[in-house]
Amino acid sequence: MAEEKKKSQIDDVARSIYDVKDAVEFSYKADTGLTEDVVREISAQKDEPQWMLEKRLAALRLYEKLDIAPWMPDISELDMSHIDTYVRPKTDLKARWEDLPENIRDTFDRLGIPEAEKKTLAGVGAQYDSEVVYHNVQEEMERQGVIYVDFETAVKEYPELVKPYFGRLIAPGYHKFAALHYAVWSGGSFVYVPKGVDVKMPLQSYFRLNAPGAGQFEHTLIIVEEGARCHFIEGCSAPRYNVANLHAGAVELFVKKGATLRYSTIENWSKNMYNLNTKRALVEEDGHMIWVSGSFGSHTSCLYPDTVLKGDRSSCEFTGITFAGKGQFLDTGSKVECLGRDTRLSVHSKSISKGGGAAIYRGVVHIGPGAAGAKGAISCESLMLDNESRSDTIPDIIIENDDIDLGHEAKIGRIPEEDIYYLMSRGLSEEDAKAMVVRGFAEPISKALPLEYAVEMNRLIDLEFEGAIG
Amino acid sequence: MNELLRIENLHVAAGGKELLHGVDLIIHTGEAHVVMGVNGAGKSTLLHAIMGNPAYEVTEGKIYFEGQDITDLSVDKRARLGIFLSFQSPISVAGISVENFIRTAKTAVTGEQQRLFPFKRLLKASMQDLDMDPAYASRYLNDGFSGGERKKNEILQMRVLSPKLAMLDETDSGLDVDAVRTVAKNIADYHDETNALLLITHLNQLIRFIRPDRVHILIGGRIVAEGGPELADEVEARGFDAYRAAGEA
Amino acid sequence: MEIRSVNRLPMPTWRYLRTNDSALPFAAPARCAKVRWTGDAVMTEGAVLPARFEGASPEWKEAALGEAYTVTIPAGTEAVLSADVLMDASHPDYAGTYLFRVEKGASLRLVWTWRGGGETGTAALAAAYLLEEGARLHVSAAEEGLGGKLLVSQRLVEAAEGAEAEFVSADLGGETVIVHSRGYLAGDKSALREYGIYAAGGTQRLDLFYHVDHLGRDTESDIEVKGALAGRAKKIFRSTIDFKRGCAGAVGSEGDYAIQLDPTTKNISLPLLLCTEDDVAGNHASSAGQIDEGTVYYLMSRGLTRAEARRIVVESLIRPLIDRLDESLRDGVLRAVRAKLDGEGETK
Repeated sequence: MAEEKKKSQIDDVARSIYDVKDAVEFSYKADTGLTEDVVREISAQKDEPQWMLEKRLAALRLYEKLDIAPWMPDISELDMSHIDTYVRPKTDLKARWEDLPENIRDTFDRLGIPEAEKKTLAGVGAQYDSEVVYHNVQEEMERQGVIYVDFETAVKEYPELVKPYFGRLIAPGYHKFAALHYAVWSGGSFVYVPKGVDVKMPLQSYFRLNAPGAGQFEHTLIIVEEGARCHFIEGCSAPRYNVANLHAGAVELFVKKGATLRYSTIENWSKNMYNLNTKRALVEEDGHMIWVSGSFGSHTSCLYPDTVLKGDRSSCEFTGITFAGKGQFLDTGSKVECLGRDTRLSVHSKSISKGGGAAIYRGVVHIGPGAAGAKGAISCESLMLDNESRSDTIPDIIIENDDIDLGHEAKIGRIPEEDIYYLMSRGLSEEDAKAMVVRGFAEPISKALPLEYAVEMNRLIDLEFEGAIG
Repeated sequence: MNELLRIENLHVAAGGKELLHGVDLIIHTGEAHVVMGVNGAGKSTLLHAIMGNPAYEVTEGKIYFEGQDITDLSVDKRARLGIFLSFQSPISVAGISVENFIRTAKTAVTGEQQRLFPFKRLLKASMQDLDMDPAYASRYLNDGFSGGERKKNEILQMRVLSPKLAMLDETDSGLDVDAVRTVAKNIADYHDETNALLLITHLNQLIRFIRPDRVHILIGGRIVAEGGPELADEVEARGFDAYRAAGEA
Repeated sequence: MEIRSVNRLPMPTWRYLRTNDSALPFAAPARCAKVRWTGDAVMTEGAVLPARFEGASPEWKEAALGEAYTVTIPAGTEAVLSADVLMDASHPDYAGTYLFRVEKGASLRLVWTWRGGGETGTAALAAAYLLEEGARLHVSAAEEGLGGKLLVSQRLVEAAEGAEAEFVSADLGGETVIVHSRGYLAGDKSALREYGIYAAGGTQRLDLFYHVDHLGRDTESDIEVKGALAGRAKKIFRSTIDFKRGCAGAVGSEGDYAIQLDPTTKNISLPLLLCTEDDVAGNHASSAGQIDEGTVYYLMSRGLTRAEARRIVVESLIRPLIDRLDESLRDGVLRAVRAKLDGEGETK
């Protein structure tokens, strides 16, 4: 049965690609890579309303105009002149489970994810019916008026909710890859939590991974109305494997008066991925935004969740960990902009560099002239596990009024020899001792995650240490 | 009785300075040994050298454990052979709970997965013996622990890991009177004919509880006198002055 | 006045924040005063700066080409020097380029005093300090009555094995103060310490840049800037400690502590830590905010006025750095800080 399914999928994909090619072959084979025709085709395939197509085309024009920021890590290996190949719906859906890289299969195995689910997570195999498995959750949420659908459905069925918010927080001009995102976005999640509703169960986006092209240019829009609460878990409990190697998603989060949103991510893209993702939250009066972010995978990452504390007494917490191993350049951090009065912020970032990897913390806290009464703390801790690796801390703190109280601490260094000796004196091998210290270092993140994600994160850490030291 | 530890002509240096100048020591299974001496005599150095602290370099001599030459063995391998050192100032590891840590260590030294519930029971019982609040099991290892709590946590690890040779470096210092009693009783309870103790202590209270088989006086990096428990009484009565000359010779 | 970019961050960050460099007024010195030296040292005319001397910007490096001297402190000797620059109405500017060689085991204690009459004008200094093995250098600098001047102090420090350099400067006057310090801790066990004290008011601009490379083993850097901002004053602190591979045992710390006395002050801090060596300890700490009201209340309950209480709190912040200044400057700096605080702040 699986055999048959596989076959028919390949047929479908092959045909649709052929169609696109037919329509656009002449214009886009020129050196620009991404053309208006490609964008129109994406829009047509999705049967989108006109306003969305116009947004896409405007974004495309911006994309062509904007340059790549000079501070960004080297992305020259990313072939921008063939950007269309990343944009297209996947042509080669890694047909067989056995073809997946071993480390990814291992992670699935260790997590004990059922075979069927594994294949879905990996972007292969049979259709995964989330409706059945999560039926009870769905029913309860529907009763409360919660909307949780894939983004294409949202555009068609809830235009009155999507249109006013889409692209408002992350404008296409935010940076080049945001513009690219708006030109070619595909898939993603839409969540609407009505006033006063407390969504008890975390919403997990990996349920929605089987939309065509999802996971590369997905758009996530979450609106948490007044006094409501929601926990959204992005990405996956396991890595997604993608044929193309550019990810430029956008996440727009609206936290209304007195609402709370927790947004958790454990990202473990395969090690050939350029992860240029954009996330931004707008927090109204007394609203509370919590980011929990773990970056483990990808070849190169640029990721700085941005929180705009617009309302008085709004607040945010950012807890992030970045683990850069061999061949990885992970430039991550956070942004906080305080606009309202009496805002609160806490930013705790940790990074680990190992085996020649580079972990960069880049952040900004901007307290505007009107943001009197702001209070906050920023801490950045970096752990260097060897002297082949790199760890940079690049914070920017801009304060434009005096009625504030802000402290900042940063530390960089290695695990003290004495700590390793102590742990080894209790029988742990050197790599186990290091892994233990690193797990402890990462604990503030794992504590903030649902159990299965915490377990996965610790395994990711252990995997990094297995057989690493002679 | 079987020979457990044999040290021959041990010279140890740290930071380019020789701290031990040829120490010989034999410990048999079932014995309790006490090392006494003034501050800076090299007592802790001796224990760390046996444990294999990389900060201390063995420049000459050999250490044998159960007949095996362990002079060049790494710390974790020594721990797995059954050597334990209670540190004077144990480190703290934020983010790792006491329970998680000891379970990991127990798995490492025994080479056997520790099943969750039997292990929890063992830990709980050992904590009760030490008069420790069971809540400590879920606290981070030594993080924010007082000096006394850290010391008890070391003894807790000793009991759970059940080493063949337990070395205790001034485990009684910094404890209040009641805690010294509890710790001493735990050490005494632990000690039997299947293991051996090597203690550094200033307190005769501990010595009374433990009843050492041998007492060694270490001065200036050399063992200058050895004897039975009566030697400890002599030191308590007269101090170390009588031995100093020998150490400086 | 022309506007030029200065003090560019070695690792740039987001452009829209406009903090990668500073756009500040530029005016080349024209009618230059002469420095008055006291003390004993071998001094020859002319100075060739090392190629890697960058300065706050190429324009400012060039602007400092006025009088030029090479000062050599011979091996094993000790020297004490004072450089006094008086910029009066007829000579409102200054330009000077210096090369200081502190030879093996030698020691130099140097005091810069900048004085002026409050008129506009530009003072541009470019100085390279080359320290040989075991050399010691202590440089203090203070200003007085510089009013509307533009003050640009640029330096490069290279320290060989066991050499130690310390700079303490009190930046009180000057409408715009640009500090650019670039250090190379090349030799094992070399050290560079940079301490800055400020009290800025009105529309003063302080643009402080420090960048130290740890190259040798067991090297040490300490960068600390403390002060108060009042009125519409703006301070930018750009500090970078770069632990290069191979600098095992290096220790570096940077600190930026600001008390903001008025709602219209601006305070920007970019403390970078760059690292490609694991055996290091890098630390950064900073705090920003208003004066602690609890402390002010306590002091006032003992009979002090609010202004006095405020002054004491600011003084207690900067006192440890003032104590590092050459003794000859301490009282003057304290007096100047007090005078500034009395005339500034709490406009409400």
